[in-house]
Amino acid sequence: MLKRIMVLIIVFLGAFWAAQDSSAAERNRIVFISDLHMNVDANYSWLVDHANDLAQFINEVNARDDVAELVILGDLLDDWVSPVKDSPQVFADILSASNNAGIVAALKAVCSNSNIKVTYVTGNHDMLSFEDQNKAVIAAAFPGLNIISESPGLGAYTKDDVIWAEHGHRYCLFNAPDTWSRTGSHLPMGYFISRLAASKAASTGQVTTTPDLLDLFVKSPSERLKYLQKTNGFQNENGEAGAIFDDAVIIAVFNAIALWSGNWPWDQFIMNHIDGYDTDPSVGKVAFTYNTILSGWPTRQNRVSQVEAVWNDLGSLSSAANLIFEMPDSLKDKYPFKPRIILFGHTHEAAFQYHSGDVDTLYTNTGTWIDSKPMTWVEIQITSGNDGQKLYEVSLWFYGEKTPRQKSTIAVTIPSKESCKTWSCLVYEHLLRK
Amino acid sequence: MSPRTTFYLLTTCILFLSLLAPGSVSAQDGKFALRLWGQVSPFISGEAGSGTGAPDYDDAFKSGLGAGVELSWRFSDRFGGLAGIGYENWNGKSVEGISFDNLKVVPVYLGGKFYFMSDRAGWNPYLRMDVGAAHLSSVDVSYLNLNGKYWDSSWVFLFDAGAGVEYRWGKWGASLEVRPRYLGKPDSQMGTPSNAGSSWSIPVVMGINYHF
Repeated sequence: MLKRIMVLIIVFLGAFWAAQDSSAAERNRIVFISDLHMNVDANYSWLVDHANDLAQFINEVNARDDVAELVILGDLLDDWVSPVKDSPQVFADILSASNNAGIVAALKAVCSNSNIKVTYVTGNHDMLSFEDQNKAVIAAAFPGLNIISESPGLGAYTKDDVIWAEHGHRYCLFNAPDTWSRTGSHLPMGYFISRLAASKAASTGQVTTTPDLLDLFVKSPSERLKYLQKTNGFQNENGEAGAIFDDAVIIAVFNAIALWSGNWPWDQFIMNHIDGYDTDPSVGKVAFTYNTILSGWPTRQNRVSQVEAVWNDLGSLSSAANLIFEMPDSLKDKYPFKPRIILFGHTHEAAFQYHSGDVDTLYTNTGTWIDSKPMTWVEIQITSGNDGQKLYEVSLWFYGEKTPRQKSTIAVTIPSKESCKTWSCLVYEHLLRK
Repeated sequence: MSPRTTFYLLTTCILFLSLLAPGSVSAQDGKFALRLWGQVSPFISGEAGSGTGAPDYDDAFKSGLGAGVELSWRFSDRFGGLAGIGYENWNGKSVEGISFDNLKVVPVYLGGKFYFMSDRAGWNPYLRMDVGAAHLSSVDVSYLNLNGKYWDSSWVFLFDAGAGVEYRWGKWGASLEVRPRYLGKPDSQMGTPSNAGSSWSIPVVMGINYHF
């Protein structure tokens, strides 16, 4: 009898020790996702089939005991993809749509989990989240959510002066916030292209996303010409619809997409007074409004060249990341530190590029959760290494797979508090503490 | 406000008021002048913070623009006294991603002038020296969406000395001066990093004078 009691006690203590051990697991992982594109329940929405998987994924993150932060790197909501002749949806419509109920509930639950900090950084398809009323709608839907969205529609997440994460639309010609082309507005030409894409999808049931559309019409002059030949007024003087890369090409791309979507120059975008639009602009008026976005880019945005800005919209954001890693003098006053790890979203293409050298760097793209692409995310596990180093293990995951597709570790020597003697370090520390 | 700055301020105000008070001087025709001035300060030197890599004032602020009014009294052929008040704005710049707010300065001062020529008509070159106090506005710094107070508003000591020339025609005159100026330390609100030193600037001042 005594023996049995002893065995029971040992088993009980063992189970108790194991339970203690598991509850004490360290929360040292940051999970990054982006480009969810939650929209209303419609045949033009980009996220329909993957909605349940996304909700399930967020619930799994919430249940994990090693996750410290969840960062949503832009395009959480999508009020851009809305047919030309429909009144554009607002964030409240999207958040209350029945097709999003599972995702909203899962996000709300993780926001209320005190063990996981949830941060949302603005993207281009939800860039108006910086407006007070929109910010209030998001904050009310997800209490506890840390919202990083500032006028004119940008934001960045940073960690340890090592990680720089933003949506990436800042570096893109069609999708960077545009406060120059039209006084009082922020929406760029990409907004109107998204609406044209939505019109096409609504009429045909075939969804084409804006990145895919831009890829097709920017890279292929013949594709542009195919649609521009429908009218006499849209070709350039050589009839080549923009053989040289200039403002005319950009306008030709827009006009060709409009015709592809079944919209004529006189068709009007219903704006419902958003972003300073008192009247509904026609397709022709929009083309006129943005007719210098390529030539005017260097004077408005001095980070990447205008040609790079075009390619960045077509999925080459790695060049922007490499530029930030190099940190030329022209960028030094725009970034508070020289990052070692950069994360972007926006392109819908998961990417992972590790560069070894004197200083190892890593660029990764979080990809997307929309129906037409694989569902992907990035995790960063932060642990302590030898000699006061911190180890940042970055991994790229595809939903449904048990191991990451790619994984690399960046070792960084973090300055201790005692060594924070530089003026900028002391100021950052003070602002962060505040 | 420290006792020292209170003293400077009170002294300056009392002297300013005594100069304006009726009956305190015998106002003879042409001895008094009212001057409206505008100034440009191309640069400002001194340490705007502490710690390795701390910016100079020049790194944190662009050139300053200001305007003001001055009352002067030429009590002899060679000497005169004056009192004035002004307003200046220095636009903030970004240093390593940290943006400075604008710095606004309200100088209040008393001064003296020595005229090289006793003749009051035509060209009148002179030396001048001023002492007073300046009110510095509070200055915030920001980085991304973080914001904090770098300096609090405060009164500081002011001293300047320089040379100028006035051209008079009748009751009117126009003047141009260059007078290097010293301002005391602003009030640090962030501890070490915002612990700044005093500053030097070289304002170029243009004015229109009315003599009565």
